[in-house]
Amino acid sequence: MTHSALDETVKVRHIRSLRADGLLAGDAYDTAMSWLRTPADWYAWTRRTLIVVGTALTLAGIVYFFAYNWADMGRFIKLGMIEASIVGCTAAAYLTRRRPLLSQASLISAAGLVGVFLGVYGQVYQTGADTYTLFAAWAVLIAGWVLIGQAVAFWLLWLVVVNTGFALFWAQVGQPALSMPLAQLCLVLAAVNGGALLLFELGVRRGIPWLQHGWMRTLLLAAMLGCLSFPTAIFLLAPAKHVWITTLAAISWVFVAATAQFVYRRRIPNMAALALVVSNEAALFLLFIGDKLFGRPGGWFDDWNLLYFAAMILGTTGGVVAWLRHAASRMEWERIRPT
Amino acid sequence: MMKSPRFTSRTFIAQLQARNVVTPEQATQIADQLSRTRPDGDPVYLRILTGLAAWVAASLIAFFVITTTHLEILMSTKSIHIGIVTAGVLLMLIGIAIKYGEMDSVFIDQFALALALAGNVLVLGGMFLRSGQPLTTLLITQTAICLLVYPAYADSTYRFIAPLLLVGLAVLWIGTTQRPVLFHLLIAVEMVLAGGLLLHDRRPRALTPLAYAAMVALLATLLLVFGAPVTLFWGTVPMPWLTNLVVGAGVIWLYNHVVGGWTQPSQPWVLVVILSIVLLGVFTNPGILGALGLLIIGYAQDDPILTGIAALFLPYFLFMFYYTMQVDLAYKAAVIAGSGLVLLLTLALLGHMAPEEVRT
Repeated sequence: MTHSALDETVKVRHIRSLRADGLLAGDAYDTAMSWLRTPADWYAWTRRTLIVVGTALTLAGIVYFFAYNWADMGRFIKLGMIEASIVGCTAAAYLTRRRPLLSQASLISAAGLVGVFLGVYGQVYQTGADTYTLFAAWAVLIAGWVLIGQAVAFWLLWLVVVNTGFALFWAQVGQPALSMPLAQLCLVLAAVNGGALLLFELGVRRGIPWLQHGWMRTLLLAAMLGCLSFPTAIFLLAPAKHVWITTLAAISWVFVAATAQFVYRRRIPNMAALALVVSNEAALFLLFIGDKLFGRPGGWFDDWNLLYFAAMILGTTGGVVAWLRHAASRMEWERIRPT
Repeated sequence: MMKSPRFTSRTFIAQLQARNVVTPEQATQIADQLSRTRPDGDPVYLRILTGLAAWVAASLIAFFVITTTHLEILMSTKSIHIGIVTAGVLLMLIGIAIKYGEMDSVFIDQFALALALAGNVLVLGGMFLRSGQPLTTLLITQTAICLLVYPAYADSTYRFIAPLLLVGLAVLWIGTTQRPVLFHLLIAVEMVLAGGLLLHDRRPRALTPLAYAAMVALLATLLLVFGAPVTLFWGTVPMPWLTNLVVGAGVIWLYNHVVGGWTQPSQPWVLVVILSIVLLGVFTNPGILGALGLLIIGYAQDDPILTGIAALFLPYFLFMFYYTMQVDLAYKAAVIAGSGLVLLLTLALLGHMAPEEVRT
């Protein structure tokens, strides 16, 4: 059966494009827009926006309020208000369970307030604990909610907390006390985000509806590649100074980049993810070339190096863009070809 | 009135023909357009990639031109600005000429863009060295460049960057004149330009980069003036309520326009939303109003870029606003929390005001 582009869902931006090209006159355009943006659509969108933005602003205002009154508030008021807010948000999440967006916003608010509570607790009682313990405890305490929340934004919050916890552990304990190299932290973070990405793709493959958000894939892939790119850059720029784990991180980057490029070209076609991988490869390549040009003695004083490097940048990105355009065309053809 | 049904392009065209709003010839042309896989050109991330690369390359080319053409020798004379401006103009002309050559090559396009950007920067640099009032001169120069080069050089990245450079210079100029009240005028101009171009049904494609530049400039100006963590060199902007008034009025008009107006049947809930925006306009920060306006436009146009920028701008603005020194923390807490509560209250009222036909 042939799948044609005409079997795709028509969207508002297509209508606007037709109008801009003069293919839809006034009445036809108004008629088309009345089909695609009914008052019911605007009502639903308005409700969603009011929930998300209203909740975000109210929470931010509460944080500001605590910051302002911090010095004057007694410990019981500080902790009691936050606890009451957590209970209130949790109750709201349960009571609005038949309205998913409102319920999720309430539960995510409660999860955010748990972090605020732990921070205030640490400030009030001055336990002397390292900050990473706050984030570790936060991640553990909200894990259950994250599992039942069925919201990709919830998982994003949890991953940010987990990543921050690991980073702070390295900064406060790993590096000063255990001489843990930065590359080791990068590998751990890459594993965490890579694991999350793997679970995300498995969930998408199983058709879990609340995971159908492409931006999460791009974000997790960027985090994983970013974590591995840093030690790889050190490997490229200062090969004499790195330890064995830096080499391991660089090898991991090669493996991850190659795998991601294959997967997002052949198995799970996705242009945004593919562009991210290829751009990352190009950036490290240019870093290597730049180091060879300017890193040698007198490199910065050779004017022609500026022009060579400019040409390398243009050539590399030109090649990347040309390859991506070709890949996009092939992927589109493969998608609509007769089966 | 149900939510919009999902039309495929095929059924959409059939419906248009059934209603006699398009002729069979128009239907064929529409089908041809909709069957193209990339009707709108490269995705935004490719444009960002080429733009960034061209910008870096332009900087390197500009330095190369200055050092290898021995312009530095002229530093001992008073003629250096002539050399730099001449070099800049030449580079821009070469870039434009290359683009007119219409060679279908990414490398050539990027090279032309790098030359145009390098030339623009060199012209500004030369005029800066020439003038006793550099910022005024730069502002006039960049205005002239935009007016002359924008129509001539059909590159969307350059057409996006050049107006932004102009706005950046305008912000610096207003700051140095010590008349921060002019920021209200700048914001009003940005808002009218962004809203007018983004909402225009038959906006020429050549003006699309300008529309996005105006939108980015509006957000950046709101952030700098009303959300910056330091007072910068222009101090507190007087009459901040003026921008609230302007931006608030703009958001009200915008929402009323895209929804279809509150006077229509089944639309009284729109009045509730508009009244809440009026209330927000009284006390909230213009940055929040700007983000709301952008969200409205993003949904109206089904533009994920605008929606994404608004979604990123709002938390970033809240983070920066926390550190701004222009108001105390108590006031900030009241503004932010109060804004949130107004929106949540509006949500509660909507549930009672909206007729059954829009709730389905």
